[in-house]
Amino acid sequence: MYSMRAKLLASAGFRFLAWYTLLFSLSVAALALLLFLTIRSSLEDQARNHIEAETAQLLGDYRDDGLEELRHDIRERTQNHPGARLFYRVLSADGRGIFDELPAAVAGWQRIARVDQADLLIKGSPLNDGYLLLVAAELTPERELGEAMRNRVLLALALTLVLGTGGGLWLGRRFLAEINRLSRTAERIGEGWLSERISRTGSGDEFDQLAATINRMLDRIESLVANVQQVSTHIAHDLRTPLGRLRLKLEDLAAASPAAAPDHPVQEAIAILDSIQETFAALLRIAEIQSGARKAGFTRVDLSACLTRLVEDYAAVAQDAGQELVAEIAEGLVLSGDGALLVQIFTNLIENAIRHSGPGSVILVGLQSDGAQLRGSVRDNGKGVSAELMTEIAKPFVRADAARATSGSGLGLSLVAAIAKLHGARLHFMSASPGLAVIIEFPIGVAAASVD
Amino acid sequence: MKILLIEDDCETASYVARGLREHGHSVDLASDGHEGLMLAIGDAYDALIVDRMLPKLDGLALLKALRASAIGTPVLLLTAMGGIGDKVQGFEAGGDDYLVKPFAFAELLARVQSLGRRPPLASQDKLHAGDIIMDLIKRRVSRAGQEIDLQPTEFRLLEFLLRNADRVVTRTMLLESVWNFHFDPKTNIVETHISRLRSKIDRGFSSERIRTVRGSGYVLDAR
Repeated sequence: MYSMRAKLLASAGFRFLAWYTLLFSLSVAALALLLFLTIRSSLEDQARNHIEAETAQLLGDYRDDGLEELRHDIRERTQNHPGARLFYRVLSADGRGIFDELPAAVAGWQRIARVDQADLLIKGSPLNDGYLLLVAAELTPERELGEAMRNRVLLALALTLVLGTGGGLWLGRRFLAEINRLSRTAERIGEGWLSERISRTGSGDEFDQLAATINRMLDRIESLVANVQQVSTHIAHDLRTPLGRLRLKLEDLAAASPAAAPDHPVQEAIAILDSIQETFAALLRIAEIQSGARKAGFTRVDLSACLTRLVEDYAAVAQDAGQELVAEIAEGLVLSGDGALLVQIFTNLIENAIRHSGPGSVILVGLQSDGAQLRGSVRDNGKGVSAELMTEIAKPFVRADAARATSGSGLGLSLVAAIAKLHGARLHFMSASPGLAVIIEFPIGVAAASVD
Repeated sequence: MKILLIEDDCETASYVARGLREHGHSVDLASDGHEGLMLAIGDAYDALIVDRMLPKLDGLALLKALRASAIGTPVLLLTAMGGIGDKVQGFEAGGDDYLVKPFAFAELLARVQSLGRRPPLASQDKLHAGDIIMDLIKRRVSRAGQEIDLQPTEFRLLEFLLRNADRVVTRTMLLESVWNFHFDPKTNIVETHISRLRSKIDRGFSSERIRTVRGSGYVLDAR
């Protein structure tokens, strides 16, 4: 549930809509601000014109009839329009004033911001003898407009955010469902079910078109893989049939010749033929494993039981070679995989250790789990492998034994690497100082998830 | 044994047929799938050797047709396809054994003879070979009344030898049925365990029961 939510929030659809919502909200806010500033400046202009006209009239009267007439004018105005009126103040040179209290005492335009009240726009005009006439207007409409707009814009923004987030979640969920459908199929195909196809909704939308495109690509891949398989089957057939004939002929020859000793040239020829066949079979097998087709047959494999049995069987072989084979295998460790191939991996590694570590060595076969992965290991305290060979060792036809004194195709560890890769396991070769340690780490989390 | 060999490669067919006849079997030959199916249905054979890739009707289809007509003759499939999946397909179609080309004739012979008289497996709870008695329920083995203590692998090995008493079993047959190894191991695991089993079974007795057949494999003599 938690991971599903995290996945939803990380989905492209949701992120796209989240960014879109943010951008949309910002542009709504910017538009509102622009509108507000425009209206505010026009309201201020109105107030300014009003003050200007009033001042001009008052100054005209003052110039005609003096200070007394001015006072009279002002008193008349304050009494006539007590509700919506301008404010007036006349200041003497020594700072005493009459009429309204105004927080200014200079000539020229001033805008005074006030807490909890509309701003004041004031114009001061000098009179004779150091007197000063102040005319002011309260910018009440502007304040009301600001408040109204702030509330509306905040409401609009909140709605945008809610709708945007909701839409984002919905879109994200839909995207995620479609993508999950695609990736589930892709996963199955990756596991080797090449005939799997993405189901079409038939709606003709982008996802449906994508599914159609991918399906066409899969048809092509499947037919190519089938071609390759057919070709390799034919090659195998066309080579194996004559090889089989050759072997039967050689056997016939060996039976006819009186000296059928093991060192007879015919017997040697048969041995060479068998080693050709062995290399051939190993190459075909590696190719089969690398194709991933075996993944379709994965089952639950009790690796602990398999390894315990292998160690029991090989303990006798090691003993005859003057070595000791020791198991350090935790019980009940299970893995999703191909049982026969997993047995082959460890057989191969154990046999390598027996063949190359020399007499008197101790070979340790281990299997442990740390919860996230199964860690299988085969280590010996024999001659080991030089550091420069360590990285080369799993490549085809590379052999630690440069003189090729021991038999073998040189494909054994390539096969091990191919099987490990098929199981999503990581293969490490390292020095056990002395000796060689081969470690295979199988991911169990992935295996468990693919089973459910 | 009366054997039908269905194989389109005439050289392989004639070598195999000659070898089988030399070992006292009677062999009929068919060179394509149709002819093979007709013969297999028309006559009673002890075993069939069927190549997987045949003209007209391929080996697997032939096998399925045969099993569909309720003919249970044991079948050894010969094939140039050695993949793990190919083997599984062969068994699923009703094959009893599977041999990949090129093969040693001795291997083929041993497998065909092992197919011949298959004892009913499930009903038996004791296996006998002369004075050797294996109790499959109690997992005990005795020779001439004397209890022999065997490791699990040695037990399985002896069981397979007893089931094929008096018949040659090859190293590959043992690897496949006792160890379930479908690859060639590089050490002498079979020889090691045979020698241990031998030392337990034959020690203190005048007659050796497990014989090595040079170039072929091993035989457990029934008496």
